[in-house]
Amino acid sequence: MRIRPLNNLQDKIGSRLRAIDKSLPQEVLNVKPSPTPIDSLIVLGNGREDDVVVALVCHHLNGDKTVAIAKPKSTRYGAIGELKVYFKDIKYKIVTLILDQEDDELPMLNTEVRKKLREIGIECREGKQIADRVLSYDCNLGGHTFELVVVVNGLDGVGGPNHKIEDHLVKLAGVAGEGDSKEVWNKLDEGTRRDVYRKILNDRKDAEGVFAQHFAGLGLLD
Amino acid sequence: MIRKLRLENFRGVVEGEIELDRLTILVGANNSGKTTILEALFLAPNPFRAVPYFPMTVAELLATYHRALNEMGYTFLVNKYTAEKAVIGVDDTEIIFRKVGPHLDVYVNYQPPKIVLERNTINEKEVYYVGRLGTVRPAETHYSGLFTPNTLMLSTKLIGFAHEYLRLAWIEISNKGYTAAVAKDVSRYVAEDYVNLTVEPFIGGELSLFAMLSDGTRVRLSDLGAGVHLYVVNRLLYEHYRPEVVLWDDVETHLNPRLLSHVAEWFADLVDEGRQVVVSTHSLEAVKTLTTFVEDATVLVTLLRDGVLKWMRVKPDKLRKWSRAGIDPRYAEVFLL
Repeated sequence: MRIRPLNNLQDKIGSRLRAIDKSLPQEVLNVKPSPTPIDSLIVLGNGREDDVVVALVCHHLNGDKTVAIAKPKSTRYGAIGELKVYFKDIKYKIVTLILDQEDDELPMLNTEVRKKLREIGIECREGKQIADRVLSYDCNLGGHTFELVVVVNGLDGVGGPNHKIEDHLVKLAGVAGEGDSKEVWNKLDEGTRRDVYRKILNDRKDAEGVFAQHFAGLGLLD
Repeated sequence: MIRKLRLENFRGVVEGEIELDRLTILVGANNSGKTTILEALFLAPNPFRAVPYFPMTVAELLATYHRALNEMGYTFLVNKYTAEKAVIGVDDTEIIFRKVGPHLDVYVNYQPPKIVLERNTINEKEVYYVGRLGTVRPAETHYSGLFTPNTLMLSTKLIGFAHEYLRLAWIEISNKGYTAAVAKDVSRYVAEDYVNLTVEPFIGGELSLFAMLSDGTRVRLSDLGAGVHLYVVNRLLYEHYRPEVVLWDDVETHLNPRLLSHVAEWFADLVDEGRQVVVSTHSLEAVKTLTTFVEDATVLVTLLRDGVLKWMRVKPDKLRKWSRAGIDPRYAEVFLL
C-alpha cells in the first residue's frame, strides 16, 4: 500500500525512510500530483515514530493501493475532532485512526471515542473489537456512511502502565522492560533505532508479531 | 474586475474555467497550470498592447521569454503547437488565436467601440480581426487598445526585460515623481535610507538603475538584496503602468517575511482601491501572510490532468481548519480527483 500525505508529513516521513532504505521512499510515498482517486485515510493521533512505523507497515500491505495520511495538530481523542474536516471534500469509505493507549483501559477508550464522535455530529454504533487493540465503528456523517477503525498503540507487559508506539519498537529492539518505553527508545543510539526500522521493513513475520494491531487495522484499508 | 477566465487549447490547458476574486492565490504542483493562467490573463486585454517591458508588446515579451535557441514564432501559445485555435475567455470577451500555417491570427469576439475591425467567421461565430503574430516580422496590428481590464504580470523571470524598459523610459518615469516614493517605501525594510532612484552610467558607460542615499551616494539596484531589487522594480512598473489587475508569478521568490508582509499590505491597498490581484505561490507562509492581510482572499488549488484544468476554492477560514487537521493546500490536489 502507498501513502499520500495531505500535508508536509511527506518531508518528515520521506527523509526518515530515506535514512532507512534509499530505495523505499519513492515506493511507499505516492506524491504524484495526479494519483488515482483516494477512498481511505489514515489519521495519526500521535506523531513521532507513528508516521514511519505506519509507512513501513503499509509497505507490506495491499499492493499498489494509495491511501491518504494526515497528522492533525490535536492529539489522541482530539484528533477525532478533526474528522469532519477530512470528509468535507472526500467521502472516505474507511478511516483508520492510530493513537496511543496511554493508561486508558480499552472499554474507557471505546467510550471516549464514541463520545468524541457524537460531539462532532458523527453517529456511530457500539464499537466492535476486531482484533486485540483494534476497534471498528460503523459511522454516519450527514448521510455518508463509513467505517472508523481505531488502532491502539501498546503492548501488554511492556513499558509500564503508559502504553504507546514505543512499546512495540523497544520489543523489536529486544530491550523491552517495565520502564517507560519512550525513555528506553530515546536512549537507544540512532544506528540501533534504524536497525529496528529496517527489521520492520525486511522481516514481515517479526514485524507482524510485534505490530499485530497495526497490520490488522491497516490491512482493512484494502 | 475579472470574474471568470476560460481557456481552450491555450498552452498546456486543453480546457478549463476558473473563477477569480479580488485577491486570488494560485497554489498547485509544478505543471498545474498556474503560470499559464497568469500568462493568459496577461495576454487577454490585447496581445498587441504595449507593456512596461522590452520587448514592449505582451505577445513579443512572452515569445522572447519562452524562446529556446533561435526559434521564432508564437505557436507555443496553442496546445502542443498544433491546435487549430486557442481561446482565452475573460468574462464575456474571447481572444482567439487561430493557427494559419506558422502564424497565429488573433481575433476578438466583439467590435470595440469607435473602432472598425475586419469581420470574420470562425466556427459560425462572428469575430473581429485584431492582428497577426508572425514568425519573422514583429507582431502586426492596427489596434492595441483594451478588450478586458488591463493587466500587468510581475515575475522574477521578467526582471531583465523590465530593466531594459526602465532604462529606455527613464525620463518619463522619473518625471512622473513616484521614484522618490518607491525609494522611501522600500527604505522601511532595509537598513539604509534611500531618497530616490536614478538611472546613471556604471563602469563602462552602460546605464544602470541606482538607489540614492541622503548623502548623495548611490547603490546599484542589482547590488541590493534580490528581494529589495525585485520589489523596487515591480513597484516602479506598477506605478508607471497602473493596471487594473496585478499578476505576480511565484510571489514569494526572494522575499523575506518582512518584505512579503509589505507586499501583502500593498495588495490589500490595491484591493481596497478596487483593483484586483492574482498571484501564484509554492509557499504556505506566503499564503498565510496574504490571507492575513486580505481577509476575503481566495486560494485556488489547481491541478492539470490530461490537459483539463481542475481547481478548488479554499477560503481563509477553511485554510485554518485544514491547518488544524493537518491538511496543506499545496498537497490538496487529491481533493480535485
